[in-house]
Amino acid sequence: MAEVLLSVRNLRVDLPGPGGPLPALRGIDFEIARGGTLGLVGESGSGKSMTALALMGLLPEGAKLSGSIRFEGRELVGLPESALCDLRGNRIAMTFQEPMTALNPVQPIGRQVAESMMLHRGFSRAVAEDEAVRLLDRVGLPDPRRRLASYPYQLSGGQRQRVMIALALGCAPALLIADEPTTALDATIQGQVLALLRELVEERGMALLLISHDLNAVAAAATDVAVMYGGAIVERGPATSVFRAPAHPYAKGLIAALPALEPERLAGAPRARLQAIPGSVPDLAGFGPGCTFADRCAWVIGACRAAPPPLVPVSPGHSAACIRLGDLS
Amino acid sequence: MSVFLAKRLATMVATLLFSSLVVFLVLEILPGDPAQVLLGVDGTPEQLAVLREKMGLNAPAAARYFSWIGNMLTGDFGTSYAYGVPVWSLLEERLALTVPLALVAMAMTALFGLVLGVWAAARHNRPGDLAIMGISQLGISIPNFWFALMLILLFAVKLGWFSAGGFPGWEDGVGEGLKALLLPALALATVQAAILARITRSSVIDVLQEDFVRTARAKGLGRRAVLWRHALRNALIPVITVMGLQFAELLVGAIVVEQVFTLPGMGRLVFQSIANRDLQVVKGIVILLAFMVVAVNFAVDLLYALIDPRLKASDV
Ligand SMILES: Nc1ncnc2c1ncn2[C@@H]1O[C@H](COP(=O)(O)OP(=O)(O)OP(=O)(O)O)[C@@H](O)[C@H]1O
Ligand code: SF4
Ligand SMILES: [Mg+2]
Repeated sequence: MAEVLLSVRNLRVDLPGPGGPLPALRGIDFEIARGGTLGLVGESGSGKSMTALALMGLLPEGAKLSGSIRFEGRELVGLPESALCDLRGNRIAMTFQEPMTALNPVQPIGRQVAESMMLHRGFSRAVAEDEAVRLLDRVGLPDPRRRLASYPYQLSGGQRQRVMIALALGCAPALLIADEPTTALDATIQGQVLALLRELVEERGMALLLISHDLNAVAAAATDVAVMYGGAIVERGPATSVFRAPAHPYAKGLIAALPALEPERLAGAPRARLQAIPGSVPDLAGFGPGCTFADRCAWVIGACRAAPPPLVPVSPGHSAACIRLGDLS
Repeated sequence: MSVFLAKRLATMVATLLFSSLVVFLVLEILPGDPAQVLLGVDGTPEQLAVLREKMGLNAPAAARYFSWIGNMLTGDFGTSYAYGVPVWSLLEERLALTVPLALVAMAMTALFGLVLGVWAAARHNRPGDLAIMGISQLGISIPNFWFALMLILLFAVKLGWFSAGGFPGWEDGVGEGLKALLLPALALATVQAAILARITRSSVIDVLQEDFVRTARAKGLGRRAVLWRHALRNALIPVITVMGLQFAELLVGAIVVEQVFTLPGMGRLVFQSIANRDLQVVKGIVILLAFMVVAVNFAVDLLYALIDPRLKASDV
């Protein structure tokens, strides 16, 4: 396996709640290799964006972070804000879930794309904007030089997503976090944006954390997959292995709901929503101390609710967090 | 952009025409014959008839309305019944006090309101923020005229830094004139500055929650840089609307504060003219106030278009 770029150990995030802290992330572990793509999947509210924000050091006010995030050999948990500012937009970059609202509505996009390069590279505005033209051209925005002066409202959703990607690529980050890059787009554009991300990963040797509740997108782009539920990773491993032989009841349910997985065809196919499992994700206060999936699981037994099940290997590099794996297969 | 401006200009003209009509009609219906007032109680009916004819009061209302409007467009606001001088010469003198007073008060409002509001927002829920919120709550609840009296007591009577009232005019230099306006402007500005500080604060706090602020942070900008480079301009959009309204309030408030500080501004002229049934003057003042308010609204619209690119394009 290639050199490990990012290694997350026992990462916890507790959000302030009315009746005490609410666990938004319950001690998650994963790794991303240099140049690798990890797909993070799970239903709405499972903690995918929270994971991304924890990595960026941009958690909501009052959130408590613990555990370890090692990135390029450095521990990020506990790093002072100024050091995090130096990393953000520079070594780790992120595109956000809502391209409609994630760009400043009153600033031309050229300046928004140029800003991180001026900040981290010390480029002058002119140099940074020349570079922005190159990036916008690379992400497929037509007529980029003229577009520098455009405002976000003048772009389509797909174009805004491309601008967000260009904005994130400015300083050639080692890790790009793409939070739901295709969710807000229509099907043909989804396929194009996904293809663009795959090309960029390939040509830049950049690692990608691809967050999506669109399993097709992840199957098409990711080398590895982690499945989240209720702030915990319930299964992770190489994409081929997880998609061919899901072990955890939740992952089984998700993947069984998909039509035949043929990665080549999948990019751009209609989204498979994760709705095959009865019930819905409870809010953060609704989880007990044990397996977060217990309330919706068909195999639940008393012991499931006692303690969080640990991740146990099911095949090389592939593990799942369920105490009844033996009974299931 | 030009469509946006043209529409705003048309609205401005329509508003002015409408307010002129209202003013005219109200004064038409109001009891009291200006010729009678001018003549005094001893006048004979013949004298009254002659005077009414001379003052043009016998023409039909519509004709008088249109000639009034037409004359104003050429800068002729008519002749004061009471003083026998052109209305404009009276207004001019008073405007030279009231407009600078309102402008100084507006500048104070903007300075204190914006600075304190942004400062508090940057310290959301921390001691500095809470202190500003407490002080501004106090500022809002203080009545204008009472605060004006307190300022006079402290700075004029006790400390002797300013005179307790009166206005030296602008002949002795701008400095002297401004000095005389400082206390009245402060009295006027306090409430508005407190209101503006609160509105600015909540607007900035709202904008700081928005997605694009997180994007800016994700680029590696620190909190302060995000506030100045990204949040502020967005936060100003609602704040500017409020400032436009506040200017109108300051103009009206000036009329009251001028009484407390015995300043010879529009305020005094309004009261005298109403008492004298000096209708030409009253009409002139009201139209001028309406014009100033409408003009400020127009300026606000222009600022909007400058701040928010979406407006320029969408020809609202
Ligand atoms: N600022 C916040 N304050 C309190 N709770 C929050 C906050 N942001 C998210 N949460 C809660 O944290 C949990 C995880 O949210 P998160 O945004 O990470 O979900 P997600 O997996 O990204 O879902 P989606 O697919 O909807 O984006 C949810 O229960 C959500 O309600
Ligand atoms: S641990 Fe128990 S409740 Fe959780 S997934 Fe496995 S069987 Fe279901
Ligand atoms: Mg999310």
